[in-house]
Amino acid sequence: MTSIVDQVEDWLTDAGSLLDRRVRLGVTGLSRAGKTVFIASMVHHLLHPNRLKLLSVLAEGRFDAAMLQPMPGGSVPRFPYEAVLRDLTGTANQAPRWPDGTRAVSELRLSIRFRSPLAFGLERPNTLHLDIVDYPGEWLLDLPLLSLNYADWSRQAVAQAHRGGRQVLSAEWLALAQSMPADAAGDEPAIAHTAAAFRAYLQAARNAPQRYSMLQPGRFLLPGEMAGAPALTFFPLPDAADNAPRGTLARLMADRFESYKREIAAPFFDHHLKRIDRQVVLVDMLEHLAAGPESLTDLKTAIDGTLGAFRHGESSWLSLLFGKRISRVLFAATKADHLPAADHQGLAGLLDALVGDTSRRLSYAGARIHSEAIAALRVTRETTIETPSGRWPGIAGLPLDSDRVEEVLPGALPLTLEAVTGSDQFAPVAFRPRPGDIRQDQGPASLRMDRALEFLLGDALG
Amino acid sequence: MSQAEHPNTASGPRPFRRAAAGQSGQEPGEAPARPHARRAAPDPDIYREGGSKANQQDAATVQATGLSAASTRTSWTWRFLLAGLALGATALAARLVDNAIASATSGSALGLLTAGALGLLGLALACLIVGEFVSLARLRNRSRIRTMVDQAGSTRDDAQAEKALAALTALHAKRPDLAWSLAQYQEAAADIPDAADKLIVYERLVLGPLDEACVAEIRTIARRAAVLTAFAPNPILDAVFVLWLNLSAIRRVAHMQGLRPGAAASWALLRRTILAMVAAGGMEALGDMMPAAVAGSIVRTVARRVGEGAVNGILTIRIGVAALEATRPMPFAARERPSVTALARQTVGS
Repeated sequence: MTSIVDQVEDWLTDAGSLLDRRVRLGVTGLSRAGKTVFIASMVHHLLHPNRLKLLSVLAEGRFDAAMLQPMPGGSVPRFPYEAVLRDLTGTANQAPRWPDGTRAVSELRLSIRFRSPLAFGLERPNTLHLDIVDYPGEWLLDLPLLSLNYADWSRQAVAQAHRGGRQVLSAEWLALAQSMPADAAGDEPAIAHTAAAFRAYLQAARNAPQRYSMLQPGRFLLPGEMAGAPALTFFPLPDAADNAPRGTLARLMADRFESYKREIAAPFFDHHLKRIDRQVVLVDMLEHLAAGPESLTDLKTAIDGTLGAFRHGESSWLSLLFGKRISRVLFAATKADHLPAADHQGLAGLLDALVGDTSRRLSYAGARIHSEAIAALRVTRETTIETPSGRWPGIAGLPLDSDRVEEVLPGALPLTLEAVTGSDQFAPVAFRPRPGDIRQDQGPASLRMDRALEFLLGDALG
Repeated sequence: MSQAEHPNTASGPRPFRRAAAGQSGQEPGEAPARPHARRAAPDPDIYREGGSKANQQDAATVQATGLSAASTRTSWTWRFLLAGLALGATALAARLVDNAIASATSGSALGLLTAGALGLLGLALACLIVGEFVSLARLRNRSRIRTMVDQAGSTRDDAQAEKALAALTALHAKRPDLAWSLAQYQEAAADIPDAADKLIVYERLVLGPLDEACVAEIRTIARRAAVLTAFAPNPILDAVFVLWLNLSAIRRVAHMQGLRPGAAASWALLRRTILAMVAAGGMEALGDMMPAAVAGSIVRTVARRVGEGAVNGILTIRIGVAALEATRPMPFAARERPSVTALARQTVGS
């Protein structure tokens, strides 16, 4: 039997927890940017905080402990931290590997107990609940759709399909779409056929050597449980008019587009991403730099469009009324360990240049912006490579496509975006974790994760 | 071999990979020296939020008031005065030496003895002068390293930070009491790719324990000053005690920071300390009310002498912290400058 005293104590504890700080961190990144590994590394780092040298809460000895907590509300699966970690550390009969691509939304709450400094060297115990959400990066590209209507999107998508290397990939779908009159009623099998061609074009563009990023709608690439639903059976029409009359193909497509927005894109954004107050934008610059200028232009479009959907700015008491704003945004060029350290600043500089317009806009809105070249997990080491032309700083690691450790010179990193040619001058090699790189019982080796976390969470842990 | 055609492309090694064991892979092409990519300095302040704004301003003011080179310039009046004195002393010495040489050349036993004594005296004098120069140079070196660290911290220039780190480790490598801290730093530095960040960690891991030790020493001396003032039989004696304790606080801090200042260096150090105190004083306008508040309340409750003791104790803390700032080879950036107010509270307020 609980006594009244216990009851009162419980209430007081609950009331006290209302004062806890909460940060909802949006880990934003297109598919293959490294969101899952970033989240796993962040959680692993905070649970085993022996390597975050630059996180001031740790350096000042104010950190007590971090714990994984069940997420309040039970409708979203938990982020499979343990499974991802098992992939990364490897097991007795399974070599370490990168986790598979994310196929569904998951969330995780990490609670951090720490002490806040007060005046005169005194400290106050405090708690930060860090809510993190992981989701397929493909779906992120649905966000720019929310502010478009069908006709606008069609024009945009068709124009895009004619550009550069996409032309070849989109030829079949465009031919099919052009053969269907927009102002006549369409028949369902033909629509399904063309929609399938459209989806095939998106898939092909994703795997093309140019590594296209701007692939909408996202669910066409990763439908989840929605595969085959009418809301996923549409495509852009070359001559879609605004306000097409009822009964025409254009009208049908527009209706399906709207229902896609209403029933898929908007709920995803509202439930998982709308309330974030910190954001890290992960960008795999290396892949796109190696793929060439077209790939970078496409990436820029995708990032600019995606970030436009969020609300950035300084948080104030008004946010209590009108919802939170994102007050800090970190642009992170991931996989920096795939380059020698001398190139890291250059890599971050290229990312700066790529997101320059967006970051100016966010800064103007009042958000704090920072960019950094990071490696959530470091799987290479620095080395010097002797060649007939001299000694060069290189890296050594286990390439994805090899079974033995290799020494690698990735080549000359372009100094500016304009200098990116996509030629074989610069050819970074993809690495994978070796056994022992990541261990269950201690913080992983990483590059600048502490700087990243200090920027994102430093003030919340103050 | 084709090289970078575009002017903006860094020319460098061509992509290359080989098995780490050393089997030869394909050979990379010929490549000229490769310029390092650089980007504009990012916001360096994000890691300094721990230190309050006031502290950064403190540091700035200390710079501005010229703890460094600018302040070491002496006015011409002083120079002439010193030159005059030196000339007088030389004349006097020359006479003495003349006499001594006269007796030494006479060949008597006394003469030899005098010659020996003169030689030793000369040697001692030379040692003293060299020692003074060395300790002055060390003090200057501190300022130089501090400026270097400060610049490297704000520009985040890797090369400069690397240089500052080398200077710092050279300064601390020979101290057995810092061996443990240095080992910890070396271990931590392995995880950090940027030299500017290594400086932050260096300050926390190596200078941190040193700061703590200095602060503990300052507090002990301050407590002594407070007690002595409270029990000193007369005001003149009290003033002498406090002056001596304050000077010893400066000396102790300098010793703990690895400086052994001679006469000239002590003088220079005293001036730097006072400058640092003046600079900090402006920032601690609020703290200024502290002695009054602490002393005032005690005056009302206990006695006037005890109140005065508290005031003197706080003065010693202030001087000690200023001396720490003047002798520290890094500016207070990652670590906060010890707050005089908080220290005063802990030491004499309670």
